[in-house]
Amino acid sequence: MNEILGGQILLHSGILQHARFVLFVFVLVIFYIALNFSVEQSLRIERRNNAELKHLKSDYTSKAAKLQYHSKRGEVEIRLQKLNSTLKPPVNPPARIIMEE
Amino acid sequence: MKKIIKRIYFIYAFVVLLGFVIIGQIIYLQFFAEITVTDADISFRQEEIEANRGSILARDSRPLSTSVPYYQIRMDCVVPDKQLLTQEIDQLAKELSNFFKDKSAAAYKNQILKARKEGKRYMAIGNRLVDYSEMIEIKQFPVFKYGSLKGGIITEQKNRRNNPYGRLAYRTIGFINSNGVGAGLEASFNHDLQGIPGRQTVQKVLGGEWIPVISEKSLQPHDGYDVLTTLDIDIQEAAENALKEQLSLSEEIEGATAIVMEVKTGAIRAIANMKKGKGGSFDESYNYAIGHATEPGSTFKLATLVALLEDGYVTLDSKIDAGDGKWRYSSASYSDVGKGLGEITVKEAFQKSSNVAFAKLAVEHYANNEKRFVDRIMNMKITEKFNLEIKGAAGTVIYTPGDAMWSGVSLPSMAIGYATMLTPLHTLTFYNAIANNGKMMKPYFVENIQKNGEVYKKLGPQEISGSICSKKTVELVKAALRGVVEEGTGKIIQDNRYSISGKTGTARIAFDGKYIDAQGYRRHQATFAGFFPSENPKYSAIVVLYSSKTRGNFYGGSWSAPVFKKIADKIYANSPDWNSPLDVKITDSLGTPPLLAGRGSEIKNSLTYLPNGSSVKIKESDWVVKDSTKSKLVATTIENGIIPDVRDMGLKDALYILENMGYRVTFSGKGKVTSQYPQPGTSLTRNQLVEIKLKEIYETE
Repeated sequence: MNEILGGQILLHSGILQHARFVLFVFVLVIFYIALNFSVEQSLRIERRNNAELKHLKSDYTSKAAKLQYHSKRGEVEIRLQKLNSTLKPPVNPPARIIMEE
Repeated sequence: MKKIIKRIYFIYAFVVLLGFVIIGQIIYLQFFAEITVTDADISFRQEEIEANRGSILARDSRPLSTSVPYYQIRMDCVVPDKQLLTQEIDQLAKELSNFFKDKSAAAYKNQILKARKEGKRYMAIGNRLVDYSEMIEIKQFPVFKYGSLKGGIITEQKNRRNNPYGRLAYRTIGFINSNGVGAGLEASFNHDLQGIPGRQTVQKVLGGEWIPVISEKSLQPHDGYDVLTTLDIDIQEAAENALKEQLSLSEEIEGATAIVMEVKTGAIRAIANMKKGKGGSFDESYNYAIGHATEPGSTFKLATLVALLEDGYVTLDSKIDAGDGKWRYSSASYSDVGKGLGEITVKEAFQKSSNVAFAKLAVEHYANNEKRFVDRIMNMKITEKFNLEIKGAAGTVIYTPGDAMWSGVSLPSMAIGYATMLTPLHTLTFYNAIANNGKMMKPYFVENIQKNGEVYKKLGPQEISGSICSKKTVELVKAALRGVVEEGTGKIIQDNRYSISGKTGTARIAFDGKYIDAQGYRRHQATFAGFFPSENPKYSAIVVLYSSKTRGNFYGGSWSAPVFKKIADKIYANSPDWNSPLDVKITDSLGTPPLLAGRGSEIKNSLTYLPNGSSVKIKESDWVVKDSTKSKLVATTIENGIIPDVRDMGLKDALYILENMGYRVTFSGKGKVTSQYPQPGTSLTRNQLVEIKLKEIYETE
């Protein structure tokens, strides 16, 4: 009883002999916690990147949709008219030349 | 010593008591307590991962309908602190008013301040959803630029269907709402398009962010399939524009449709529907093409002609008396446009679309055996049910002898296109079969269902009937159809560059049980159906215009045929293979092709596509320029600070080189570079001006 209350047990039970091992266990525990946090952090980054990717994709699709509309033949003709262009859509197809090797 | 022991006992008792309290609390919490959980306490939840809805694609894979994210802007009006708000609210209100243009800056200011007083934390801003780039712009507005935690801006993503080509083929592409109600391809292929959403468990971590829990199983979403249609954007656009132009010419047209079909396969290349709306403008709001069955009128004479020829009762040269253009038979009277054609051949009767002649022919040859005529028509599969990919197809009607509706005048009426109900698509499918030498193809809208370009289900062409009539009959009716455009009712669309075959049709439409009302008003349906080029048909098409009640006339020849021609012209201009190749002799004395200076490897690459290209030796160095004799290309090196020789280069190359060296460049003219200032070889520091002049000079050898 006295040994426990007086703290002598620490000297006699040999825990001090294992001090290195105890230290090692502590390092492991800290390492474990750190690892957990870093995994959490990467998951967070991944999620943020995914959101970013989604945004960029939406940016791309909405811009592509706009561009497609403007590339419509009719739209191009309207724009050309605004520019006072004399460019006209072709009436005849291009002629073909067959080449013999 | 005693004192110490007393103290220890005291501590001991305290610890034991504490133990009991803890155990008691545990029991209470476990069995008796009611715990209210707020959002902030939840640290795990199930989250749906949205599956991307597939796109509807044109035949060349350009998207006709695709999911595009939009954003709803909201504001947590409580978040911004007072000082910030008083400083910047005027500016913010002004920007918002400028952006949305739906109310004044003062109104925006009032709205925000009022909402703040009422403690609104989720107030919608603006009158519409904004797209991504607009959302980024709004995030830069005063107050909002401090982000969601200080500025109170909230953005919510919503996926919306976007049709990049606007209303193009809108009725066919269709739509679907959140309850699954819709029309067109969007609705009928919803199952393939929508995909399967995924699920995952997420956990809240320090800082309030959510991350997925790795130990829990997650279900990945399956994106929807893309639907590749047969529609051709260019032909579709041509069809819609041609229709719109024609519709703008008369107030009395209430609707119209145009369909273009590929002869060999039955693929629908364009399908345009226009219905007049309340404001008088036309829109794709009703599917005439497949959903509107009416009496076809004169275009049906083709079927009558096929029957007569097939049964051997007439040849194209048989004579028939069309008389003075009026003929009474039983209770009905038949009349032709004009004074009457007298005695004519069957071919002429077809070309001039004589009602009298065709009614007489039917009575003459089938009056004793009406069923034989109807059986012939049925054999041609004219009333075939198509089981189209799009819902809303109207049923066809054809009467047979013995029906309650069959009367003494049914036979001659049917022969000229009444007493039957067909949709424009049915008429076109029949004409297409004639163009395809009697082989009838099922009209179809969807080529396949695919994901990332990989085909998952092919729907492709399908044959309805191997031959609806003999080859000989096909040849004869083709000649008659060509005759309609050469010298008949379709004459105005005759074109010497390529040939069109077809048939006009002008039908009266019954309304309120009559064809003409007491005031003399009628309703017309003007049609032109046909195919081109006649010798080797590639496309068939039909144009139908529906008039509102009118006293005027709407003939297929003068109203629908011009639309048909405009569509055909556009297709012709894009089809170089319809004309035979130019008859030119290419001899060996071609010489070497003239070359511009530029990048060696690119020139070498271009040369591989040209005749005699391999005879030219080019150094595959970075840049090549012409040597002093201007006949050979030699390699050159570009040295910093010394102006290179860009003469004989195109503008693209010249600009690339000079601007990359840090010079400012002005240019004039077009073609190739003919002179530059300062001269090549001069040393010049960065940011100085270089002037180049271009001219179109072509070398001929």
